[in-house]
Amino acid sequence: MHGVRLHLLGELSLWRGSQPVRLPPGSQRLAAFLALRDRPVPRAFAAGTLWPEVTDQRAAASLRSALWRIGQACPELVTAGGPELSLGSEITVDVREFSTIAASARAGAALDASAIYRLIDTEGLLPGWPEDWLADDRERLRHLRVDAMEQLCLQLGECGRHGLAAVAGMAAIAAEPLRESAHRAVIRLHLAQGNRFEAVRHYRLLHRMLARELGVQPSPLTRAALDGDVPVTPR
Amino acid sequence: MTYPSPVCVRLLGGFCLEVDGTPQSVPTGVRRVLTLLALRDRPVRRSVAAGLLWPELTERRAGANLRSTLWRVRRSGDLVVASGDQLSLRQDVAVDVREATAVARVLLDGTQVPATIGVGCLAQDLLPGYYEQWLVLDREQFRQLRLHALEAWCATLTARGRTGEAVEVGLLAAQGEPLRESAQRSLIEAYLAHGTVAEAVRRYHRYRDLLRAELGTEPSPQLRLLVDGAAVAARG
Repeated sequence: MHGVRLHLLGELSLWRGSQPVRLPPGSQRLAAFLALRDRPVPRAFAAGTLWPEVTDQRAAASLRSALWRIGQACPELVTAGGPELSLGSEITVDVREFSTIAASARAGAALDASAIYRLIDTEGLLPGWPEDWLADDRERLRHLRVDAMEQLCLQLGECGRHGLAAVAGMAAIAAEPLRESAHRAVIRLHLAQGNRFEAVRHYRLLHRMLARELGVQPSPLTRAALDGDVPVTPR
Repeated sequence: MTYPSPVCVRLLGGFCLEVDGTPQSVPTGVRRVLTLLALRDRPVRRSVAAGLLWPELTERRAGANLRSTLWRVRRSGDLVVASGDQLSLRQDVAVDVREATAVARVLLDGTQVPATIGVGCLAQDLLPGYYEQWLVLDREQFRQLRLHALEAWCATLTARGRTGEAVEVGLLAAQGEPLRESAQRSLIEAYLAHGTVAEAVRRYHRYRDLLRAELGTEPSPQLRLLVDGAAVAARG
């Protein structure tokens, strides 16, 4: 097995089997750009997006050079037959695998513990890269990950796997601290386990955080999740 | 815990930087930077670090504070790697909370029961008594993981008949949060399996009294039934 894998979550890396393949920066950007698109991309569009600050001619030259270097390092990475470019059809991309797993979790599929931890430990899309064209995908993946973890928290809680559910719920909150639905999922989880005190404690934590960051109170829906009065005894 | 690495950042139970087993004295600013980077498994952008550590300052002042603190970090040993605008802890620096997290995940799983395991690494919370805002969620995240892992481990040991160890682990969970019913339940079940019904009943009463005093509520009916049933059976 000598499949080629492209990793875009965290640092970019390219692997042929267990061997790392080095790419120069321009080629890295081209590979990432194509890997994030499902369809072939016109050459001029790729050049204009990846090298926006130079003339079209210079951009086209940079694109050719990036393609040439890819051809030297890993020819199957990019398909460049005609006027369009696309990622080679045999390339495995971690972002695509991640999206599939996260989307099935969001839709309520059961995942095993190792898949859940993989979701939780996943890094963002090329976090150090300042490129504008990454912003939407980065945002979409972040959102998908948080959605998936919140859903896992609810679903694992329902089947009595409270520990893993708590891990998923707290990871969702860590990624998006002001997302009330994730806090609600954790509060409900505590209650489902008979941990009323933990539910109240978490509600207070949310209350303080919302007051400080946004100057608002938890929504009525969240108060209702607590299912009764919030005791005022400080602790 | 012993580490193969000569440099270790400890955050459980309090901050400590150890080099070759010797605790170092560390200025406050350096402690905060090391703490932040130790808690993040991945690089942190300078602007993000500055904003978290000095939220009350302007971006410029916070950035300046970060730069001067990083300079002092370098003087206390080269523990931070700066790559572009990203900061991270040097790869070979061991962090106790990362190791404890890995242990907790194994225990939560419940399928593997390590023959011996250092209970110590799950005995303490993350930096108790530090009130910095950016720590609040990290602390709660670890706290939940730790308590769930101890409960799961206690239940696994109880189910396998290793009831003496189960009681020990259950006690840690219950000490971790005395008002947490699932922790008290794990401990009570371990006591019952261990054949010490009187301890189970005493534990239940203490929990009930605490709950009444602090929250004005009662333990769940399930827990009461568990203890009542055992007490009746013991009286024959």
